[in-house]
Amino acid sequence: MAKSNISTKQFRAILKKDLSMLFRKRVAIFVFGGPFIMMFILLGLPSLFTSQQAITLLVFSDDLGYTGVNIGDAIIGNISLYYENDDTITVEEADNFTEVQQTRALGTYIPSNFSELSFTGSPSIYTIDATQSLFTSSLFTEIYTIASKVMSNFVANRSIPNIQSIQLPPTALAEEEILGPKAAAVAMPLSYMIFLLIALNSGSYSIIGFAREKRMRTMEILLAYTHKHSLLVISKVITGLVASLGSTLSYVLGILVGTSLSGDATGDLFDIFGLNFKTLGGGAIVLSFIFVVLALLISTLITMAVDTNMAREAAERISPLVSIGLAMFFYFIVLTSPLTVSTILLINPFYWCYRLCLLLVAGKFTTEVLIYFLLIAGLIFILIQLATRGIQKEKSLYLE
Amino acid sequence: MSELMVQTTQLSKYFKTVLAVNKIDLEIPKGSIYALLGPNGAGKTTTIRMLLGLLKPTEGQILVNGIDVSSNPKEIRGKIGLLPQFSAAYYDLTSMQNIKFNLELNDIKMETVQPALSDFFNRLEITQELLNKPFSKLSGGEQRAICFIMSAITDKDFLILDEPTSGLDIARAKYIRSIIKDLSEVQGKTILLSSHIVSDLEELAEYCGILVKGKLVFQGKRDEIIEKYAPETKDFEDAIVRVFNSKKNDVKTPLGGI
Repeated sequence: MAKSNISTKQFRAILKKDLSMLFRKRVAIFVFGGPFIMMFILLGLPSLFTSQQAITLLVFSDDLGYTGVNIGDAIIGNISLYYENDDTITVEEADNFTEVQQTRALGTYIPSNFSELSFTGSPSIYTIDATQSLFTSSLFTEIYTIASKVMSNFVANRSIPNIQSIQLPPTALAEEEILGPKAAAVAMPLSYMIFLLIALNSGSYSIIGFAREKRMRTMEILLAYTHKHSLLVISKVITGLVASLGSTLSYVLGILVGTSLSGDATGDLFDIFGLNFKTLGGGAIVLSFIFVVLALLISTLITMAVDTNMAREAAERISPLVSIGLAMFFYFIVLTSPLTVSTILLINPFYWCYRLCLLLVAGKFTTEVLIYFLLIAGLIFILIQLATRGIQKEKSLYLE
Repeated sequence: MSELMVQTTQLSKYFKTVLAVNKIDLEIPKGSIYALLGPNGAGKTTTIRMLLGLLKPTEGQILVNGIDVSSNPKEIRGKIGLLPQFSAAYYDLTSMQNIKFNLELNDIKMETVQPALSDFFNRLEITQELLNKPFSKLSGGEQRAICFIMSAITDKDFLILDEPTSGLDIARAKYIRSIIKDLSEVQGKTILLSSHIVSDLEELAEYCGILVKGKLVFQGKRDEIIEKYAPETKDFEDAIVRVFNSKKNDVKTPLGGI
């Protein structure tokens, strides 16, 4: 009883000290301010000079081409459907490529009629002007999706479908049908958030890690006075999460301020990560954020376990790489098929968080949920033990 | 000998093939000031770290106040006060914040130690201005004094002080010696002192243990070493140097596996 009481008091003191150190360290200014400045510079600053320029899309509309379907008109119809209230976009029509070349300065060229293939010998050429902002980039992606769908149909079936029947986003896969549309809508934003936040926060570990304690020679005192050494690890992890979440908030604010300057702001905070509050509802969004934080926690613990079990100098360099490597491995494989179970990813803890979140969003409380839950809980326990053993190891403590 | 605070039996420590501590039998009486001496690399710091439970002995047993540290290092945590060889504190925090953190870590309320703290501050000329400065902005001597206060203010019965007066000016060194004396004589604390500064040892050490190349070559009262090694000069420093020199070549450093 007395021992757990002193441990609680010690934990409070250590956590208070760690948090206090986080906000005092000059580097923390970069952790909390850096992402904001970065996003503001990337999005907001160029928009001060370019964002107000109207974007003109030039489309062929007179040529029926091989099939007799006027794709130009269909694309114009789609654009006006998706972006009807956007004053910055003007759609103009051109009859031939010479006309396009003459009006090149206008903006984006869409070869919507495939009888014009002979211009370059390649079916899809898109020219994007430097005036593009984030918003036009997403517009461009959608047009690309339409055009590539049309093209693949054309190549495979020698027929061009009615463009109005093309769906955005793409039609559902079998797995999507199992997990449902909500999980499908959460999948990409969730994997992106996990990857982005881990990548964004990998550098912040140097602020909270034990290497600093060793440098200041306070490690020996902490180990000699603290009854439960695992509390030292847990305190650092909590501090790491605070740093990570602060840094993420700074990133989001940077995007919001940057896009509001460029006039591209969606007005929806969740849209930054591709989550649509209206379609998904609060529950799925809250779950997504919980699992992103869980992935961050695991990332911090992995970094810490590697750091504490290695010699000081090498640890600071290698430990963030291990975490980022796992995050990249997770994200780029998930991208190829977001909703199917990937065998190779079953060894990746970030995938466990991702998959468990999708199952919960889909309301599938199966054995798979229990397995992922146990895997995550077990891993967290093991990593805390590893890190605790690491800080006590004489090799990492003294022999460097 | 009176009741012992520390008793080690055949305590040894290897680092790979290097033998840092070689079968030593330390005996530190309760309430005494015991000086652990030795040339650089003699094994003093390794011995201290084993007493604290931070290093696992390769062989032998350590009892600290009846607790078997060698087999159960967790039991000793929080029971020994420590002043490490180099100033150990958080450089971004102020001195006062460092002291407060140290008190909180040891579950000591500020109110209960306020009179003692004020006394330390007065004796060591630690002003309010210094206390509010970040630790990194203090001079080496001021940092050392703050670290000493942090270790002395704890309620531990056993304190390990590694080079407590190193880097201090004459006045502060003198006050620290008087505080160490008070801690032992008035408060009955046991103090293990590791120092190279002769004035510290002459004024404070009741008992001495001399380590040479990891071997405990002498252990006993301070007067005994003088009697044995410098009977004609009666000089403590002389006696220590003679022990170092006479034992330097006697003690071989065995290598593991050989």
